[in-house]
Amino acid sequence: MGSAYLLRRLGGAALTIFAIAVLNFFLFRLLPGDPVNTLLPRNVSQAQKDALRHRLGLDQPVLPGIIRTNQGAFKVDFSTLPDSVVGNQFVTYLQNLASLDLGLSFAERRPVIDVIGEHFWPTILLVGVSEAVSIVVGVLIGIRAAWKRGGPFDVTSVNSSLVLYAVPLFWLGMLLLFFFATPNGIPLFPSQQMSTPGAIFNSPVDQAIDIGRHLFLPALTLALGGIGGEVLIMRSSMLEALREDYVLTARAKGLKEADVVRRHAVPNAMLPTVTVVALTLGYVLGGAIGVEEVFAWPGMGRLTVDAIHNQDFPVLQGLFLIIALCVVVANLIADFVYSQLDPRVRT
Amino acid sequence: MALLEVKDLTVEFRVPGGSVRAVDGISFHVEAGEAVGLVGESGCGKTTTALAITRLLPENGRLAGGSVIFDGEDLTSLKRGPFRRRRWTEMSIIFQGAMNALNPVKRVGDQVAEPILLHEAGVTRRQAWKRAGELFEMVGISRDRRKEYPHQFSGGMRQRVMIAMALANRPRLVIGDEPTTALDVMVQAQILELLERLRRELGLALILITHDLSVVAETCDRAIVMYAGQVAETGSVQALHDRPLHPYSARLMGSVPNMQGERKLPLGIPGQPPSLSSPPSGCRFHPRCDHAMEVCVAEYPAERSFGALHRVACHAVDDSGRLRDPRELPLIPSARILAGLGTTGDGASRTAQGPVAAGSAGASGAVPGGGSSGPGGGGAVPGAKP
Amino acid sequence: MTVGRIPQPLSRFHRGYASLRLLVSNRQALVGIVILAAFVLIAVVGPFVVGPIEKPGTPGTTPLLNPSATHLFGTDQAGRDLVKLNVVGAQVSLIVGVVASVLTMLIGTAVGIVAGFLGGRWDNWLMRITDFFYVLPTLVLAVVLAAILGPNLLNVIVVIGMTSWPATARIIRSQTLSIRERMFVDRARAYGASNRRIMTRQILPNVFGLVMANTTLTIATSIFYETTLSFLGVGPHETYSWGRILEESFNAGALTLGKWAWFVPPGLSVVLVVLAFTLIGAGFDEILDPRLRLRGGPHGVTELAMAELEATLEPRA
Repeated sequence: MGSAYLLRRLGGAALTIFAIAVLNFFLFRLLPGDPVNTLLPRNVSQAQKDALRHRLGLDQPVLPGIIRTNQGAFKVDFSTLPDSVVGNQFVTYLQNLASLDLGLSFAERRPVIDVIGEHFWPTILLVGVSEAVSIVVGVLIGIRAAWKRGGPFDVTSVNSSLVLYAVPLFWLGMLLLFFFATPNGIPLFPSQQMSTPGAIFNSPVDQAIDIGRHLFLPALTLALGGIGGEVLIMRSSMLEALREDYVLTARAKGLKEADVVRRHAVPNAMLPTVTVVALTLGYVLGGAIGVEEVFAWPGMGRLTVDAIHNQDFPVLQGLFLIIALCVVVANLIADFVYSQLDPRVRT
Repeated sequence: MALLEVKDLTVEFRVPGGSVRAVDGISFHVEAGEAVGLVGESGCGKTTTALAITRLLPENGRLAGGSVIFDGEDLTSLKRGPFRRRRWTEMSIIFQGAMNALNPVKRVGDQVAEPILLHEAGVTRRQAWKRAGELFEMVGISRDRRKEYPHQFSGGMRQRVMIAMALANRPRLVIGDEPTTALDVMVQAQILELLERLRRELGLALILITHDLSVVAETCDRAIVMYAGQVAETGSVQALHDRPLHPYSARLMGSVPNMQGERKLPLGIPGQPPSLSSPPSGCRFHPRCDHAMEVCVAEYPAERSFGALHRVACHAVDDSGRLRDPRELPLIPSARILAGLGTTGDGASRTAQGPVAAGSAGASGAVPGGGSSGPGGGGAVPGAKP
Repeated sequence: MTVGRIPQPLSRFHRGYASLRLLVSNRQALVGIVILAAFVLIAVVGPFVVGPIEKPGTPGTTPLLNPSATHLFGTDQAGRDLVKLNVVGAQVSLIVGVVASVLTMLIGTAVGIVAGFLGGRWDNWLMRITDFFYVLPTLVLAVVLAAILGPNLLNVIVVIGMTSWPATARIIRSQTLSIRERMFVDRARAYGASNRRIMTRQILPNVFGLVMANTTLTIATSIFYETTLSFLGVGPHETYSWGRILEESFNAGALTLGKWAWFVPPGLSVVLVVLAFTLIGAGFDEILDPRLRLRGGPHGVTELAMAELEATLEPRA
């Protein structure tokens, strides 16, 4: 039954995660220069360096028989065999990964996993809320646009979707910030952070309201960015579904036009939309980097920008891994939703 | 009074750069409990006629004229709401290729129960589901399969589901739009048998739309032969088979291989159906007709009756109801070639070696014009099916 | 059977001219072309009109000026004229967009044709890799890669090219598959043509239209990426792009200072250029698939009724 399909997807996801880990390993071995200087904090003593180097396994060959010189060049050196078959950086990396050890942050001098952990939930909150809003609104607009195709509603929503699709999210954020959070516009919302600094809340409700006020503009930005794509995909799959014979059958049965659309066209049109929404999640997470930067939202995007400025490569490496993992998990969820919507993969 | 009376039905499609008249003033009727075949090549407007009757024309199509009278009531003048309430309760439609006609993400049982819940007040979900079960058994499917989805059914089984669905509200008229095409021959026969049995048991009227004359011969009482959006000939299946009057019908009859009779290749119809965006003048069949005369090019033949139900629109049929021999007629050159009479105007020249008429696209189709113009006439000619 | 879909051996010039005429007759595409032409003009002629960017600290420059007759958009934190920066930005954004998407198309087309034509194991593995990159958060990967490789023009182009090819590869693969089915490839093989020859002489010319349509869309994405990378501080550091102007305006507090002329023009330019390429791409799509035009209208047509109608419309051979 359906579990076979999900099991297959689960296997695929596991394979993808492994591939991401491998890519991540080699990506950061591409860094020019001495890996010790880029992967380890500066201004540490030679002894500390060596200790860290050893702890992180950087004194080992990269792969069996392949060493990296202090200048950063790769060399084949078979003299390290057979020890390097197991004792190499790649194996160490995988072992560390298995125990969630992502190394140490240069900037903060603490485990990368802790640093990312603090920034994880704010991003999930921001992206989760904005995706939920943009999916619901985008799908509804897409349905209506397809149904009233060629009418003023359709023309307006297609054109604004195309424009929204072309707007860099961070710039949209800057505009919203300018108009709704600075004295140059109407300062309705706070412009920075996730909560009012130093505020003491009487109740969790007050705190939630405060977070909500901070969340509003960045979430609106991301949601607007997502809506464009969702309207276009939902509209086109609706148009596709409305051309199918079962829609004609439904109409011939005497269903009202609204019911034809709601009961017969929409459930089918949702299928491609689910797939596309999952695939664009990576794009939304990328867009969230800039938006978090604009609104100083303390999430993984902000952390990414900080890590870039601080040349904090271990954090950057960890971030790429975690964000990629999020996307894989989201795709897995989408696969599950799809299997619930489409009996053809379930049975 | 007839159950369904179609008068001068005209349908136009808006297309880039103008409009196309896909159905051009056709009239016919269907009595209660009668099975009528609507026959013609693809593109002749059969399906469009069905969609026009059921008001399911695509957005770029519109009813440009005529009326559809069902049980004494003009359906074309009905408002949207009242018309919708008559859908499926008075007439239902079975589409071709049930794969797409059934919604792939809904259980078949729910799809069959849907119109019952929709049109019958006071029916509960549970009752409708039970009725769906009864309908399933009526068409020969186990009621346990109501929970399944269309993709779990074979083509023939899906078509049975469609039939069960079409009968859900006990309509008086069922339109079958190529209900058996795309099925293999054995399954085709089973489905036709089922349709025929249910029609008799329930006293339904049936309009069977098909390009396949053998299907009509097996199932129908009467047939309407359409060509290029117009009615060429109507009559009882028996009359059309024994004594087709219109040269097109004659050719169409000739296209069906005869299993019982002597082994001979079916007669083809040279050429292809005309483009409806620029139909031929006069009788639309004249470019492909081996009876075509000057008058056929100039004016459309009026419909004439022969016998109670037999009607035909053809200049080459004489007043006694006989399709004249091509050799008796002042044929135009292309028709002479089609009739195998050569271009010299010499009636005696009966060789089939003349050049093939332009537009007959690869058909080697010169037909020896024998004494009769029916299917029995002449020798074997490789048919050119469009 | 109709074999009419096989492209006629028109000369390349003729085909190009014909599609260009169709493109101009498409209203959406025409809007795109006009917008794009304006920006190309700015990028090519602009620098000669407005002159070079002032070096920081040049005597006579004042930082953070408001818009005026001499400085239409005002000046930045180092006293540079923002009109000049935006003009250079147009140049850089267009160059990055075009070059990066050429790179994208090269990789994507090669992968797509090889996978689609050779099939079997090649297809299997290439598509696995493609799907893997397709799932990856591309923009995040681009940011990380750019941070690793270092912020210069070449790296940014390479990064964009390396991360955005999978979509192209998929489209080209499916097109290749359908072309492979067609008879004339077999005929070429019967003559003893090698796989490489068939791929470059038979398949490539036939997917070329699709490649062009896709390129316009990829250029839009590339410009988008460049802008975002620059805003995040990993864009090309040796020159000015719209993204970099936005980064500097944001860091200098243009939002709180109310200096809208600093951050509105570059952002608006990105929107307009990306929109222009999207519109042109959509126009191309419509030309390549005329059914989109015809099918755009009808509502709930059975395939049969439509086929019936089409059968009467198609000119007969």
